[in-house]
Amino acid sequence: MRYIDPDLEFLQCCPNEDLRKLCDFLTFDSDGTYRFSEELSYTDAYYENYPDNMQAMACEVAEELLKFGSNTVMTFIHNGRPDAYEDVVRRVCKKMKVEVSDLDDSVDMEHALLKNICETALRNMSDEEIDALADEIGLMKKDFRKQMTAGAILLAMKRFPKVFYRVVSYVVTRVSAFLGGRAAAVTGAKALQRIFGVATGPLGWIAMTAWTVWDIAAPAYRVIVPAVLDVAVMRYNNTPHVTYKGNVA
Amino acid sequence: MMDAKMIMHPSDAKAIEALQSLKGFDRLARLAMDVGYERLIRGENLGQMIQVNAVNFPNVYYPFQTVVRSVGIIEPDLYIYNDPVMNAYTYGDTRPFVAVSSSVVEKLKEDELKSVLAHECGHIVCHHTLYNTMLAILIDTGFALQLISYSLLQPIYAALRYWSRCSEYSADRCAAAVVGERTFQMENLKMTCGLSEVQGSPYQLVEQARAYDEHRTKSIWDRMQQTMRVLFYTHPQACQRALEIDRWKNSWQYRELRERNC
Repeated sequence: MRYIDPDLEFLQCCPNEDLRKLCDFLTFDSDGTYRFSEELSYTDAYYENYPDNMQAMACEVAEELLKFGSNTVMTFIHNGRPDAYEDVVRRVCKKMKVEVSDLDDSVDMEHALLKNICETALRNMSDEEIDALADEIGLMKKDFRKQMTAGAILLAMKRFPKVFYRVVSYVVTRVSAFLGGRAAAVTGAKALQRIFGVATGPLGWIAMTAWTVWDIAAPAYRVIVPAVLDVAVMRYNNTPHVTYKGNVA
Repeated sequence: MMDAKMIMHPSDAKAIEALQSLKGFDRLARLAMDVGYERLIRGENLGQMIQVNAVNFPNVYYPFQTVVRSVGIIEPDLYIYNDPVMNAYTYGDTRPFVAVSSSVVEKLKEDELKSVLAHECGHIVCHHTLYNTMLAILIDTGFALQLISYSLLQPIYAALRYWSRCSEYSADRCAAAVVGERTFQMENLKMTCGLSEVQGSPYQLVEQARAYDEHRTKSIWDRMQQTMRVLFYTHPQACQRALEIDRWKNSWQYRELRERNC
């Protein structure tokens, strides 16, 4: 039996379509081309099970997600074993500036992450999008201003778990573009810093090379942030007994 | 036409996607090929090889026609050249051709010959020659303009060779899709040993690949030794080709292509 991170064991019981969506996300870019650093699409498990028997390759999907979330150099040093899911979620929370405590487990951190994403998304939505979301969750709306509708949605999210996850599902499908933009901005800034490195002579070049290698090997946030959100939604949909420390239980 | 995405090895697809992002460069390379090597080699082919058609070598032409129809490409020129080594190759993008050695025609059965021809047609479907030429132009220009240093050339060539090996896997997939994986394995066996008859299982190279893999991964030293040995190979080793197709036969792409007979 292949090893699977205990926090991701539930993937083995998820519906085929959900797993396929996650697998496709890890394997393909938004334009349908293979992600350059993916390794899943030429594994035996992929050949044998994709696309109709995804549960049988849940271990490989989980491992690919963790590899994207780990530093490649460190994974190599650890004989190919990536970091635990809990570390990956913690890393994502840190990147997204979501406050979590050291005692929080993966499920709590996922919840905090979802909550934060929804609140950010609600703040950035246009009037039409807020209206559409209110319709989606069945919120009785009168001729409210944007802030009032958003406030009502936030309140409903805190009170009703089902509303929370309907908002999450709505937001997660629309969040990729926002995350893509963020990733591009970060990459641009790093490239600029590296140009200054060239001016510092041979020592600078060595440092710059090491820096670039480390950066390339670093966790791929453009992949793992949406993937962790997807896993969080899948966990809610497929493990109804899951409980949180927060308002939603 | 067979969808190249259905047969492309992921590593091959990734390299080609990277090259496709250089907008307009493919047209330039195609033009360079058209006025350069393609015309030059066409002269060489017509001058030194035997052109195959319905009248000359119908036993080679008709299987070729079947393969071309299955793959769904415009029929390339087909030539036979004199060589006791079993081999075949293709070149060109605007007017591609396929050339097979006399030994292939002599020693392979019709289905196995089809497998060789389908492999070459696979290269045409995936435009491997075009992208190979593009890369060669990029590297040669980079070196000539001193944008790429001599010390960087070896790692670049190693990467190129890796891609070349992966592109062979894609072409093998095309062959397996057209003739079936069992026939492909038999053809691969014969091409490896150079014999017209093979005794035993058609999957003996698959078994050998597992033994090789065990040997290769025995220790870090073995891994390094074997990796360095094949670093500059243009083609994957025969046993790895056999194993790759044996794995790929379980994929949905293979099933779908076989069901609709490409």
